[in-house]
Amino acid sequence: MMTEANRNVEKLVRIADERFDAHRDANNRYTDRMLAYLLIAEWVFGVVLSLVFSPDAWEGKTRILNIHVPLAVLLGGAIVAVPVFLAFVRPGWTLTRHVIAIGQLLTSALLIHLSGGRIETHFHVFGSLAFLAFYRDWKVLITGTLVVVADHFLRGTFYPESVYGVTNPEWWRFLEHAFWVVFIDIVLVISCIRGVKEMRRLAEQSAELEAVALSHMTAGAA
Amino acid sequence: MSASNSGFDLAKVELEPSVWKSMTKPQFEALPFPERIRLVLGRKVKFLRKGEEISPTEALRGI
Repeated sequence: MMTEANRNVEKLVRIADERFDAHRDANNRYTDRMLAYLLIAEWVFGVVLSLVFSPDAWEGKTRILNIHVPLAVLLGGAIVAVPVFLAFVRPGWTLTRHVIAIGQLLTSALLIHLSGGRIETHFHVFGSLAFLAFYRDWKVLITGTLVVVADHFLRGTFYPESVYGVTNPEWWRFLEHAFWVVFIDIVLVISCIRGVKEMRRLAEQSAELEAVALSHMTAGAA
Repeated sequence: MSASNSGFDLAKVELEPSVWKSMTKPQFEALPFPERIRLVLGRKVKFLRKGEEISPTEALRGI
């Protein structure tokens, strides 16, 4: 038979679990919205980039719109559409943050392409991974990293100018980029795990303080 | 308030009637959560900071 003390322990453990889940869910929803706005801003930035750096191309003596402009508008729009939709329709959902991770790193890939593979634009990948760490869910970083690796490998093989800005990069170039991505991933994964532990500790601390209050009430009643 | 002047640095846990075991803060926090709750609810734990007993509320408020 369950005693009053055991019932109180169970109740407080359940309260701590619920507070932890609520805190985590609120953080996921907040990050979903924040990254949705970021994706929209990056899309606009990509369009501006294409208009400023390569608005025109030439076909003989005829001036035509460079392919980068419709690419930035249409492909960029397609990349951000689904994650932004999910962020507002299904915030806090596990799939939402993974789709946002895919969208964020594909946006990095598009910006790298639009800048002609400029090495400075590759820094956007590191920024994207840092933003994804706001979720404090290391699995989201793995999804983002897989997108970077697949993109660098495929474009590096079939369209190297798009990712490295040169037509004949060393075969191991993608490994060098992958090394730095894994390097930052290790740091961010550690920070995610610590962040989750802190959230758990806060939930437990509040339940412990309730236990103290309850013990005073019990002692007063006795 | 910094970590050094908040919370507790030692916990004394009553394992059996009148048998108390001293634990450092990390040792106490490593106990399973339901066990910590049980100790607090049953008033079977005393908290100390710099050798002086402090209230459980004061002890547990500091992370």
